[in-house]
Amino acid sequence: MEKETLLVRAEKAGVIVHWTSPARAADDIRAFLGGRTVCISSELTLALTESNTAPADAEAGVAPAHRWAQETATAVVSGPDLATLLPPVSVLIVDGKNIVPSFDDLMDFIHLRPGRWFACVTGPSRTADIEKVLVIPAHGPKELHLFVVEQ
Amino acid sequence: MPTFKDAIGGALKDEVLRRNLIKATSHSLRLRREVIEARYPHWEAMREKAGAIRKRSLDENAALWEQARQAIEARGGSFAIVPDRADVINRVRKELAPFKGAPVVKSKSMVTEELGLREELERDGFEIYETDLGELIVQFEERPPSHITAPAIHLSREQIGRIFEKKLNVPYTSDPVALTAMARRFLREKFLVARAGITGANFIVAESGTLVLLENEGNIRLTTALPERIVAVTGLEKIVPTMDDLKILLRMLPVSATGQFQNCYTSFIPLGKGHILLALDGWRSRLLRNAKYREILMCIRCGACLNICPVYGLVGGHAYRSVYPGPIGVITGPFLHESKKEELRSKKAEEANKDTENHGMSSDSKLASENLKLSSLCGACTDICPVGVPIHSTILKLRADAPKPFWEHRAFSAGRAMSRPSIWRIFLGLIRMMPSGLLRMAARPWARQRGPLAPARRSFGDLWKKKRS
Repeated sequence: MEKETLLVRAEKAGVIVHWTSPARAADDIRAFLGGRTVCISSELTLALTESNTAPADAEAGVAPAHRWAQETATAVVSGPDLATLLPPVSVLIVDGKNIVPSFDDLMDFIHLRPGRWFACVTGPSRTADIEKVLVIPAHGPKELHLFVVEQ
Repeated sequence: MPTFKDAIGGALKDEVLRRNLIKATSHSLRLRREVIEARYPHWEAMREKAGAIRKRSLDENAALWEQARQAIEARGGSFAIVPDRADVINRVRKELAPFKGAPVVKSKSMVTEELGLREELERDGFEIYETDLGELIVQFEERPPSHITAPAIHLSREQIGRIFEKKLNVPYTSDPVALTAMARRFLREKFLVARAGITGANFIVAESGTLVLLENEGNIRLTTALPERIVAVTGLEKIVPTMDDLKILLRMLPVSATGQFQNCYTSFIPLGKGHILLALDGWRSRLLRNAKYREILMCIRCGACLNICPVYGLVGGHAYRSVYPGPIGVITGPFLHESKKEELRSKKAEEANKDTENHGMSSDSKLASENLKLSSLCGACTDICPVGVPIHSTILKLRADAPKPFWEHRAFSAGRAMSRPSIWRIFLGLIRMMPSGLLRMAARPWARQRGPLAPARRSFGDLWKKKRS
């Protein structure tokens, strides 16, 4: 994986990328979250914090990205996972092994898991319904952070 | 309903409308061109491939829906192909009845606009909120959307500010950021207590019974994730055979619609327990069987043909007086209204003496043939269509098939007659004998925009003959 390409594409989509290692991941993410109230996705395996705020009240939501496509800066998350949707700050964690080159790879990933509800996420929530002026956020997160975990 | 003349004339005089339209459509077109140039050097080949996928979706339509049905029902979801408007409304009404006390959240869907679903349910006492910002604005404005993918494209930020001031009881602002935040706060409350959601569908994947929805705001994800019941309403044409086929369509749709390389959210919902999918039939299956015009159903509702159309850019969506404006709306109209006509005809059989409906019937098909004039036949719509619907040549075919008004018929006969030089010379002689005032009268409204009309004393033909002799 080329770090440079990933960064450029992510930046274009409005995603802020953080690099971390398996050993440091929990500490780095905790440091980033600081004093924010946090909603932890039920799918997250990484032990981050004891307290878990309801998604509608949390200041940040942490969830895993099952895949990340470099080409379009798109994450695959669990569709109904409110931790990726309701808090103003969304933190996605992706394993370096799950970074794929193209958007088409995401379709293959979803196709191979029939019956599961997924959503592709490309950047923070936005709208341009008023005079085509880009406004972030609309109904979802205002900030989207991606933590890439690799050795 | 305004007449054709009034609708077009009114729109042409509206400078604010035109400014809003040009600003928005040119913005989307510029972004679209940039993305295609940078990312998709083989755009034409992609169009061909996407067109073939859409054709297959129409060719194998019934079998594909059967496949989707099996997948959906195996997971405990329910699915029905619904023959007409009244039937869809009744079914939705029945499904939502247990949730009547709470707000119902709804995401954008052109098929529901076609049905007037929200208005119909509101009359029944349901509290329904459009959750797409543009749709919420036009819900507040109490007008239909004026664009397939940008419903409030006809409004300026100032106009939207006034609408919010009135409907949300907030201080006036024209700042898009503040206005969006107001909508977010207002709808967030509704989302959190809603127990049922209504959505449309961008695509249904036949092999897996998956509902695919594209958006930017997050309102669709909230509409589908929060409530316990989801009713998705779509049209027969929205099916796609496989997930593999989606790869190319999910690239072409966002760039054609908004000029984005990728839209913000795409949901893949395996329809199952708590989900109801209704696919509207009506005029669609008749059009599917119509070899001459079925390509109209290939449309994926991106709205690019609206953005590029010189006529749409001048008059905007409301001037079309139909759910689907722009070039694709012009060619969809005759079939859409045909179906309304049939529905009304059966209604008429029930209630014998209602001439209001009789009136509605004739005016709808008249409207559709009037709208066939809303094209310069420049072909830009055909060129921009991501799936290759031959829009402008279809307009020509429909014009040829449309019933001609009495005077148009006469004019064409006269034109054919005058292609014979002898008759043409007699006609010219008559014109030359007419007083210029009378001539002006006869040539209204064409003459109104031109200077005094006076035929040359001698025709070019005469002068030429004289010069040669």
